[in-house]
Amino acid sequence: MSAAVISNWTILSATIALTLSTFIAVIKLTGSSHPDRFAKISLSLTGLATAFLVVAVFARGIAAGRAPWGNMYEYAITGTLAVLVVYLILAIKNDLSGIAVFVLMPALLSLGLAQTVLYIPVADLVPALESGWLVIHVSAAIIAGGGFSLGFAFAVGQLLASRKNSKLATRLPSSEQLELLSYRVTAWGFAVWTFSVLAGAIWAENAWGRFWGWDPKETWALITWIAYAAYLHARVTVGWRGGKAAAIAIVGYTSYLFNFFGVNIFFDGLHSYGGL
Amino acid sequence: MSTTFELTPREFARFAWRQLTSMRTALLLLLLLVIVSIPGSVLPQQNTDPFSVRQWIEDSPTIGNILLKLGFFNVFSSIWFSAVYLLLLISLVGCILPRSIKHYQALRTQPPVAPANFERLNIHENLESKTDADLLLTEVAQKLKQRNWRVRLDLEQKFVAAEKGYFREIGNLIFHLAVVGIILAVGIGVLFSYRGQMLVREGTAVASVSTQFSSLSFGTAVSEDDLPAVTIGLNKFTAEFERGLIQRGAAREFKADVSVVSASGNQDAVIEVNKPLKVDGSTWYLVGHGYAPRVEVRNAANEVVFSDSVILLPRDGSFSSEGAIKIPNGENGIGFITAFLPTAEFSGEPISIFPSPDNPLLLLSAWQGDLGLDGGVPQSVFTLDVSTLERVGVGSIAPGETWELPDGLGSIKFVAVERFVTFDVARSPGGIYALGFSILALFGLVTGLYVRSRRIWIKQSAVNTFQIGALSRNDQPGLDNDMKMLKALCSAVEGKLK
Repeated sequence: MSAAVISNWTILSATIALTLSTFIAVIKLTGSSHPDRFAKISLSLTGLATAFLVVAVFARGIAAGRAPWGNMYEYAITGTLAVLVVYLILAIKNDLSGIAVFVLMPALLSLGLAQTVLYIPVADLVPALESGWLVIHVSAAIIAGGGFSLGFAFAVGQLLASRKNSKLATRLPSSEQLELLSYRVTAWGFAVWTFSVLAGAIWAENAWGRFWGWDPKETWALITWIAYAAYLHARVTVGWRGGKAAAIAIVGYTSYLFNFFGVNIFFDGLHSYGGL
Repeated sequence: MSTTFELTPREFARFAWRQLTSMRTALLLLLLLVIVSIPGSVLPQQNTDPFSVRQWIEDSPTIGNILLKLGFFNVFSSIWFSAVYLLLLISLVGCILPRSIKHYQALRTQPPVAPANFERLNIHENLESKTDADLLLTEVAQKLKQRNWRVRLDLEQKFVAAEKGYFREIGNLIFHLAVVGIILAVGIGVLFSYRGQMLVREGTAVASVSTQFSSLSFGTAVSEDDLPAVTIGLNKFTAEFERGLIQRGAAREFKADVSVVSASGNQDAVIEVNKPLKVDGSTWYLVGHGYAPRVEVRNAANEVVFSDSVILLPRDGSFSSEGAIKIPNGENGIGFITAFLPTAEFSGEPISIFPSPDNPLLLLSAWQGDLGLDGGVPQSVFTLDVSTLERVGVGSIAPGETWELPDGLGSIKFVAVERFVTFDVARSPGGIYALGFSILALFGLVTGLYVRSRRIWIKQSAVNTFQIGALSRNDQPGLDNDMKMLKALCSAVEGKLK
């Protein structure tokens, strides 16, 4: 069996494990007689899915003979892996079972999209991507995206948990707890995103002779950065804390997603490597 | 009776300044900057895609011209975009400088007194100890100092206050100032930078003088005199494309073998996409390529009137290319509208199905008349204005083949497939400063986010009873560790004093 085939099969396995995990997390959230047991099973299955995904991403890299970050498909599977890894790390010290669905569902959606819409067989890179900066710039963007994704999930949970007279709100962790979790992963994502944008600027200077050229991808990377900078300021501004800050984090995540999907699909720019 | 509040200009200025430098304003300006950036990516921009801008305006002239006047096709140098980010910069500096002074003063004053009510702290606890209060507090203060806490010992009011994590605020300040630094470095760098583009055919050489560039722009502080004297000859250009079924036709390798003549000496070099060539302060980037078929044109008397390679502009991913060949000769000028197909395929209209020259074919449409080249009106070398010309005929030729024009007007021979490359030539100083500020910004950001700024207190509340408490001034976990540390210190001191 070739590495490429192993990669495809392990992604399918990860998807199945993640589907089960999500299903069980939903049962846990909607109320079951053994919530703790369900939470444990769901977490173990998430761990299994993550392990499969680690193999998948590695195998893809071996099959391609390079870092597996050359197109949207590869970005999506590595990005999902980043989300799950950060989630598992957080789950060591925090009880995330109440919010698990909010993380697992988008992760599952991302894996599903990757295998259906974004899928592209292994191929070499275009010359523009043949650079050591690919590893630095893109991996940082992926890791930052992992933080943003979790921050988004927690922010949505936070908004739902802060609703009064809501049955769901009583089953979620407290909105204060979610706010803090959301902040931690988002702030971390922001630092890594900053690094990614700066590394991208240096690469751009090296490849195109300018740091910044307002290419659509660059513009949306900056919009994302500014939106998250606004979020960090909102958290310490009277009258903006809590719900409003969470809303800005959601705006930031929307622009991050748009930079990934929208810019690759709608705009023609220097970053047109999507493979769609 | 009505009361009015009138502000003197001075008061108003102070009020406006305070508003501008407030966090709320900074936040709103950040959100505004998000909104005003969006049109810059949705609409085509003149600096990156002038062709699409023209197209846009032609398609919807009314809206297009309004948008053009309002700067929507030049968003990032428009007045409104600049206004937002300049206000943001002023707000930032106006906020950060006073904060720096405040923090500097804080570093020189003692930690604050113990709170009257420990209940209001993040964590607090009561501690029983029979040790003499003064001795315990003095020892604890001593130990905290050894652990790099800033300590305040007050034996009158019987408390120790300690503070740690000043680098959090310092990091914050460094980050914000470094962001300003990056913007300044890039902005000032632009004044000293130039950028041009030139097309070089295989087997020819170009010198970096302004007439050789197809486009060239200078920052305010530099001019043509700052272009280094460099001549670059393109010996050979290699282009490889994916031949497998997956991503067939995608670019795989571009390589330009060049000979460089410059003040600092002569050399042979290779320029690739991510490997630009630096010569005497200028950097040469390989940014594009295309076909420049070599042709030979003979007139009615069978004399060679034109023999050269002709640059054709690529039109699609399969490198179907278009251009024109012009041989002026008064009323009897000959012009060709030319299309080149690297891998021609005939299924209806002839098209190119692969970017490499596997089955090269030159399509020609010949025209006769006054080409208007002598009129002094500049025209594009890539198009032929046929409005005043008479059509001679159409033909298609492969390399080595000759097309005899009808009526004995002459002939055109497709000699060989050759290529041209596009080089961007640029100097962008300020990079090293931008890099320095970037590193500072990252350092500041990580410090500002992750250093834990916190205060701890221990205070005698009654005989043999102490209150201890900790206050976090950030959102990082770990405050309970400080509490544990403080308790451990107390019991260690107690044990030692027994």
